[in-house]
Amino acid sequence: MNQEEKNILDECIHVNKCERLLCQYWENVRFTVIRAFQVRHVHFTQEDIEELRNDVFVRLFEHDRKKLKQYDESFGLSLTSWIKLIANQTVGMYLRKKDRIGYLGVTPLIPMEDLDEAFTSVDEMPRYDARQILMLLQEMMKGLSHNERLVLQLHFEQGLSWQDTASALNRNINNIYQIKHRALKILKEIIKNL
Amino acid sequence: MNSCLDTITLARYIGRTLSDKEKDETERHLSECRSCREEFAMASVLLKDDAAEKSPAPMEQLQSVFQTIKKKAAQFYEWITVLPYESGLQPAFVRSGEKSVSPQIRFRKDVSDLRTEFLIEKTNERAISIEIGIFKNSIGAKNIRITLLKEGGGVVSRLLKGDHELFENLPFGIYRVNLIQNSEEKGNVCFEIDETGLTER
Repeated sequence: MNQEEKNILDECIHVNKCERLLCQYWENVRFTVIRAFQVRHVHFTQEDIEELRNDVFVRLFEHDRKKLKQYDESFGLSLTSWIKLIANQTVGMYLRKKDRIGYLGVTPLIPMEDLDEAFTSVDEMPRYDARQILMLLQEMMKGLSHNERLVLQLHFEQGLSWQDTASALNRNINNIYQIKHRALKILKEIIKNL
Repeated sequence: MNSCLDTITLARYIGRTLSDKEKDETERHLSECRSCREEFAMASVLLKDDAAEKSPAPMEQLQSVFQTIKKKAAQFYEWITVLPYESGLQPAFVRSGEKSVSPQIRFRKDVSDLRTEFLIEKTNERAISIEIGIFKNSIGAKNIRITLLKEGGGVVSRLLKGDHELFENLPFGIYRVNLIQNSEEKGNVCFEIDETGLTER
């Protein structure tokens, strides 16, 4: 954090004058919100961006500027990165709340036990089968160590490239490939024994 | 690590300043919690963005939005995990004898000449309980009917017995609490509750 940023932050958290902080990060937050939608491959409108940009600053300022006071250089992140983290979190919470169809694919719209009744047409059968396979895979993943699981999840579930997965986990790319091969070998063994 | 990653832990993990033990615990949690994993994955991509820093915006353009933001910031309550306390409204887990600590929100609101105290507890991932205390001149108010209305459907109405009333197993959503004393309408308290916290309306 340079001296100017430090002064702006101090003015906000110690003197409760946050105008300069708002101005300083206004465009940064807007950019981060847009990127947060883009990396999640979710459609957005200008209204979404404006609303969320405001929400990010509300979260920074609410409860007596708690989120700003929590920031510490010893985290190893710049203040800009901290604010980006809050912005990303805000977008994630907004999208979960809005329950954007097809966004997370986490919670089935119909419980599994009701599927047989719900999906009676031939067209729906592949989707039913795919979901059964997914549930089976999720069970099999429990046979992996948490590191092996996390590497596969970041790549296959979250869509990170192997290089991005390595960067995110602060590991060498070769190490990631080793973990990947080991994990897939274990999964194949589990499938063989089913 | 039983609860989800807080922002500080996530920041320290990304900033590579956790101890080896903390790092291992964090990665274990990430492998078990999809929402934290998603947040982490997106954050790691966003923080890698090497787009140039954006220029500051002029304050003249932001004055009115700044006032709006400041007003909103004062009316939002985040979930807080606290230790049990002795007096006043007690969390459900204290009454039930359970030892787990759930995230809570407490706030007070004056409605006409009544003081209302709210204790909202997140009892599981998508359910809450709302405990409402009503006081007049610091003692429990009498002859109060509390009606809890949820936007989109759901009404519960009860006569206040004692000085507080508990509504359990409620979903997130927008609620209006209507108070009537001796058949006279006193007023309403409106709020929205979701996984992030409570926003007064």
